[in-house]
Amino acid sequence: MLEFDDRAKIRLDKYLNKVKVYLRDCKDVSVDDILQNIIDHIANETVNSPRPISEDELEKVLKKLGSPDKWVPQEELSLWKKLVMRLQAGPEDWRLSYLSFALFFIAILCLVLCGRHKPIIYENNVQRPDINLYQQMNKVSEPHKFITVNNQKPHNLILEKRYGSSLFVIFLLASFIVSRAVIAVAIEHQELLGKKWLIYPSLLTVYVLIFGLLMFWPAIILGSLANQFIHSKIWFDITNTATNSQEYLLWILIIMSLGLWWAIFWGTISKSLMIKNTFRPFFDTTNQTLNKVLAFAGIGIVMLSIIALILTFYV
Amino acid sequence: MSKNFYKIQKIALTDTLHRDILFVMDNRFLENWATQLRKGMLELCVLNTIKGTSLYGYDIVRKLRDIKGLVISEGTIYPILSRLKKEHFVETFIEESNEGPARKYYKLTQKGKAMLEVMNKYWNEIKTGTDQLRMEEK
Repeated sequence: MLEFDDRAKIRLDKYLNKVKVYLRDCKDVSVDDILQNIIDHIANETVNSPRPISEDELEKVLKKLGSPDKWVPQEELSLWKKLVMRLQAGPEDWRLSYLSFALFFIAILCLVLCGRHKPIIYENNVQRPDINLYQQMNKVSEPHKFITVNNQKPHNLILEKRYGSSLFVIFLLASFIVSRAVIAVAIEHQELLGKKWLIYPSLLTVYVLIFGLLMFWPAIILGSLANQFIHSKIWFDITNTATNSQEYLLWILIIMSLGLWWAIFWGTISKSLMIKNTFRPFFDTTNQTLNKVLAFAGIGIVMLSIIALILTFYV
Repeated sequence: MSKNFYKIQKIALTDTLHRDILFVMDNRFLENWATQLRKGMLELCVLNTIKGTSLYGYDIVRKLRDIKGLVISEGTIYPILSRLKKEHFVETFIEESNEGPARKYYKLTQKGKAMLEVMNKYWNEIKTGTDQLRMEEK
């Protein structure tokens, strides 16, 4: 029976977790088998060591076993781990977190500084500060490329504003990718510790956007479809009423679709591996009670919408 | 300064360049080559170690680490064993031990024996050819 002192136990846990992380992507090995082999190896190497096994004794064995990242051929590693190994040149693994935060900071700077300037509009080579951008938009045939005033190309500052937004997106995405790389090799939440404050800004910015789309996509799609239907001849023929009075029906349908989707999402999909992997590390541990409450809230919204629909037709 | 002085300085600089830079480059080349060589050899050596007997995982590591230059990290043996097991070249069985908890032993399957024979033959051919190249008088 192996007995370790407290520090040795922590060291061993870290080592075994590292083995799990690096061998996770290898399809042709059994991680459980290898972990058992390692435990047996340590037991045999320390058979003559006093019990409990100290951290120093354990370290000698682990040094001979070597780092698990050297056990896996490079081609079998996932893209994330290859990126991390390329960037991590030394023992300091905060480098990636700093890089993530630096990229996020640059993204914000691009948005703030490059987006601040109002575009200067020139007409016949004379500056026209009185004309604002939106007034001129109507005269533009290709608004996304450039703005012309009386067929004259405007001052370059107009392009700068667009570059600011584009650079913000590019740097934000780069920061997000680096943050995900940090999480990919973080063994447990405790491993993130202080690093999380460096990687969370970019993660949260992107996640909030994705989560918003995920939560409200039924409203966007169904609302658009329902709106077209309600304004169609078919609807008029069925109801024989003006469309304006049916706007509230559109809202009921949107709310009902949202409720239904939320019930499905929080009842089942939120626990799936796909959601966990998409929103790591925030969905790694799920609060079952909260999920149930949100799922029932969704069902409640659907019921209320049905009642509202029924009342609409009978009142 | 005389021409000889500059000549001496130039030789000293070249020596330094060779020692400090090229030596490092030579070492890196050797290290890469040795790593590639070990990668291919380890599986062959693991199978040859188990041939004709059943061995406990730790015993396999102990035998192989005695071969100079073959094993840098002892842990590399275990993923190889796992991979060989998944390929059905080796199989495992549990046996009670007087020295402690039950142990997992590895032995070759029929498929593993056949594969080992092919690999040994291939290795012999390469070794013979390589030895001939080395011995050739030029």
